[in-house]
Amino acid sequence: MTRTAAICGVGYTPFTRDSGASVLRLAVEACDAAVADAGLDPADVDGVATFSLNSDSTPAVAVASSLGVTESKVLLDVQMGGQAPCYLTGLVARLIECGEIETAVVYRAMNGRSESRVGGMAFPGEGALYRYPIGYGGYASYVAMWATRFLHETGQGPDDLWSVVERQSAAAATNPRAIRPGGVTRDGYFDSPFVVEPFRKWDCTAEVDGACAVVLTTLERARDLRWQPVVVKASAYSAHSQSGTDIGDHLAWSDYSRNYTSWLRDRLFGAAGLTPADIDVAEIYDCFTSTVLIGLEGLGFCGRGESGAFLREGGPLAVNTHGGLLYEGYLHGMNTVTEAVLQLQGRAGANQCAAHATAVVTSGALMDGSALILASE
Amino acid sequence: MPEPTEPTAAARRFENAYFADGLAQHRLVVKRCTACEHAQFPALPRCPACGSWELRDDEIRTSGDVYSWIRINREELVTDDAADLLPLVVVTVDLDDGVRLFGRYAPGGTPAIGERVAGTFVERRGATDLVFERAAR
Repeated sequence: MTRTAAICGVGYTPFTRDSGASVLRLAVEACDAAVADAGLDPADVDGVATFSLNSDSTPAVAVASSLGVTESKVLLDVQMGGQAPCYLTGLVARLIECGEIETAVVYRAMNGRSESRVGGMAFPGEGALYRYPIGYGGYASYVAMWATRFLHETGQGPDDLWSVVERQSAAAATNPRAIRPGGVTRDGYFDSPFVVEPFRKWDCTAEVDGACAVVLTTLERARDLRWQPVVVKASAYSAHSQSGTDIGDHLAWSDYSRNYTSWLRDRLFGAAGLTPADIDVAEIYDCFTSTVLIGLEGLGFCGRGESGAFLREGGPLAVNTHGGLLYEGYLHGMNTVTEAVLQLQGRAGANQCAAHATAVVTSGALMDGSALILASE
Repeated sequence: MPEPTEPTAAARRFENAYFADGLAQHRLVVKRCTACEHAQFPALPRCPACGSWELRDDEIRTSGDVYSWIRINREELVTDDAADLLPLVVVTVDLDDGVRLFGRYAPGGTPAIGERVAGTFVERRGATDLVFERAAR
């Protein structure tokens, strides 16, 4: 009999600027909340998966031990940043489908504001010696380098970045989890100085302390649980070709105006048997505003160079309904996945979309990344 | 941002030393495949185009076209020893000899995509940086 995997619960800690707690405590709180949210018990869990960047988190084994998992069959730690949430969720879904495990938790936990800030992290690949000696540091700088080229090639500009801020900061104003109050005005945006040109402060995510998690199990089991099951219809990862030696190494990548979304699009929609027109909700990874535009174009929700206008026109597609990582907080895209689940289950509160049968979620900004298509049953 | 002494030091070891060593001699050196002539930054252990392990050091020209650029205004985004360079303009340049490279741009200037540039070697704090400036087309 063919098994299908479904997401059945989500869990969060509050997002703060200084948690005052260990990363392990945050991780366990979020995972325990997710398991309870699903109506399951930690004894039901037999798989735990997570990701970390330069050892900024706590490993799956520590969380399994703290949760009280009684038989850990898969513990997965990947060395990745924001490319990982959809990737891990998809991999875990496949493990459930092939019968390796029954129920798994995927989490991201970090003191990303008070301890290990990605914005100031140095990455250790072979590309490092071409960057750091000239002062070219900071993840924001690398994404900005792509943004300049993307905007130039697609004939877009500051007004298109502002369109992302306008929509997402409005959503944040009605999201109680958001670390930023939202409601950025056009003047407030254009009057703020450049952090790294072409990005102003409002184009850049807000680093946070916190954790969140999703729980997956078989669709059959999920049907008997608390919430409407969210089926993992398709997942895909792509690093295309010549994607470098670390997440800051884009020396050999040929086209800064296209990221992984362009390369995984056909596989993703093909596996789900859907097209962009079938999607109600798009939760697009957004450590910076430009990645929303690149993602919308890369996935085919609009034509090349049309993403800013697409957002301004406000068509039926709901985009980054929680305010995104930009305004809810930078939990490296795990909270992008959880928001999609809440939308599909109809429990996104004030920001709930009217149509919420299908969602696309992405993870990652530059060369490599992953995506999911989720559907409520 | 923290001084990335470790990664940079690690990256300079073994087969990667050629780049910084070349700059110190005011030469821009790339690893080029002896079999297919493919040039690459950074130096991977073998040629990604044809699989050959035979790579040679090749001095290339510093001229090229600006592919993209940014201006960094915040101290936390640059390495500690570059804080005095703010605002720091970094260009991505498609060099005439077939590789893409990052470099500083002449202080106070604003580059444009497609602009013709050439690099000069500038000593700074015991190392040599490649600094690009506008060149005649």
